[in-house]
Amino acid sequence: MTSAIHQPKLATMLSKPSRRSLLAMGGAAICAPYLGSTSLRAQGKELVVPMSGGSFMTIWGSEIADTFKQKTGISVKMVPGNMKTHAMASLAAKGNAPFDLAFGNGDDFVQLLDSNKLLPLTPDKVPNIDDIHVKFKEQWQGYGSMFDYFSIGLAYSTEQVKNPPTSWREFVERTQKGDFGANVFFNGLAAGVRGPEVLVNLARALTGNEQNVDAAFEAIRKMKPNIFKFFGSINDPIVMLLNGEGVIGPSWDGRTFVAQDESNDKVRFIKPTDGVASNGPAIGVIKGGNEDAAYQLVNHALSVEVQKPFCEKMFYGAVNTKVVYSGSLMQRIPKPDEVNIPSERFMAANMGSWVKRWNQEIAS
Amino acid sequence: MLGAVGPACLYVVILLVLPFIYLVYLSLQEGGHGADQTAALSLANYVEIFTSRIYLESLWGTLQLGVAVTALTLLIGYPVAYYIAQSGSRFAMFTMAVIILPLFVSVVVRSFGWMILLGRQGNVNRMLMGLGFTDKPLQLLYTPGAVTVGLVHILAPLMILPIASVLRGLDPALREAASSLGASRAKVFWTVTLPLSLPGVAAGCVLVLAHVIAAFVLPALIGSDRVKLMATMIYQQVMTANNLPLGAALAVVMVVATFALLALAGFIARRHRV
Repeated sequence: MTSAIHQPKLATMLSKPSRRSLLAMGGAAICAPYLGSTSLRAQGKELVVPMSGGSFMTIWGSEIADTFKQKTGISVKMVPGNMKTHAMASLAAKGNAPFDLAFGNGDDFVQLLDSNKLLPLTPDKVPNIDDIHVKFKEQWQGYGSMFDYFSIGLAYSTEQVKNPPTSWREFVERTQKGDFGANVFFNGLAAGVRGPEVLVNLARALTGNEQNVDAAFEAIRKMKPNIFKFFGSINDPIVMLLNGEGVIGPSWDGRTFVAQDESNDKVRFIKPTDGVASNGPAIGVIKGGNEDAAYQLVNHALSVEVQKPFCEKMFYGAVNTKVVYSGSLMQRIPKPDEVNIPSERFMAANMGSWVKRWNQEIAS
Repeated sequence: MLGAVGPACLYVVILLVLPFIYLVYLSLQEGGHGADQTAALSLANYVEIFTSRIYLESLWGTLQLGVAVTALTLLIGYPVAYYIAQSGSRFAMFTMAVIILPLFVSVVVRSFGWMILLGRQGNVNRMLMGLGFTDKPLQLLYTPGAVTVGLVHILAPLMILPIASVLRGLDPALREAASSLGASRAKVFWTVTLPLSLPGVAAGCVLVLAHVIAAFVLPALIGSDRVKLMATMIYQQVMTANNLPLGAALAVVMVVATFALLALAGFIARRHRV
């Protein structure tokens, strides 16, 4: 018997959902949040930026994204996740760029540069590029700049180490002799904790040449009996120092300063006299995205006005030479002339062989 | 029939079969910085895996760890499963809850728990020193032993639950019949209960072994560089050395090894089906 009451299709779908209608509604629910965003991006009112997450993303949001929106009316959508995955998405995209900015690790930036995915950062488009220290932009050939820099020196337990080393060379020699017992930690090479940066910095400290990694491998091999952990997390050095597992090893400046202040001086940071290992995320403009707005954001991110508050909150170094830090940070944060920025091309070209060598000589 | 099975098949094909085919295709390319992406497909990555001491050590180390953890979880888990299945007491239900609840806590958090317990200033060292077994803290953390203990703790529920489920489903009349014919309790267990519980044992072993083969987080947190596992090797090639094809080849080897073990477990389960 045919019903004289015709229900609208949507009402039928909601009151008596079939498997097909459930799948359709599910798909729509998943896509809906992105449709609005895609529309804003297409109008040039939104930029999509890759991020790693955590406090970096939170403070980037408050100090850079929010201030940019106040200034220009353009929203910044930060997409958290793994930076390498983000870079692969940008590399793989044909036509529609998933991100408007390139922002991430140097080795991924090299691939983006070589794949012709980036636009040049010229002074007419990014006036603040002229204020960036040459050390932080020279290897990107005018297509990028570092956004900030971290520094890796040595951190130690003040309760366990009364006479700390002052240089990498001294640290290596004393570790090999067993001065610190089997309580030394060191960066794992392939664990995403800047092992390659520390390796080439060690090569430079021992021989004057960052490309002489043979010397660094040899030094680590001789230290190995007294290294109880090749750590794999950026937080490990401070955790190990505070819980008594380790007494000395490489660590990041900012995290050590925070731990020093919060633990009442139980840990301290050493700025080795033979140079601090350093690096930082590179920033650039992706071809095919919202290019004009992206240029504005890069210029904003490299300005004194946002570099200073961001870097002071994160305890990172500012790449803009006009930044003057407040208070004690002026003495704490290593200056550009004190840090060693490695060649990303050199590291990228040799990483495969270094990983193999590490597994054979060190992690065995 | 096709209407019922179709969506499931589509799901498996799109989310499992097609990505795996792409993984195999990727593994046949050459990779790494400066590699010629237009080079013809080859088995070079597989040759490197099976001729390199490091990767063979990783394969062997992963299998060793898998067997060790599986054996330990079986030794610990079977008695617990037997107790849960056979005892009608409320404490058995409480035991079940104690086993299930940690599954709601992430592996990372549980690993941090082991870091606190096994640290130089941790509870285990304090107990050992208090009992006089040692006069200074032992290096328990960041060792192969720590990884084994952590994996046994995390994967024990995956062994206990399938075995308990099978044991609960056993017909008590079979045990009663054996007893009434003069078999002792031990003989009833060895000749009736244990053989009938083997499908549950096989299921538990497969689950535990598959998880150990793919283990990455816990070994990274409480293990050491000297413990080389397949998942770690894959991470190194993909995320650090930028050699996706070699990473893909390692992943294919890992998947094939896992499926081979599944096939073996399935064969054992079929042979013992009553």
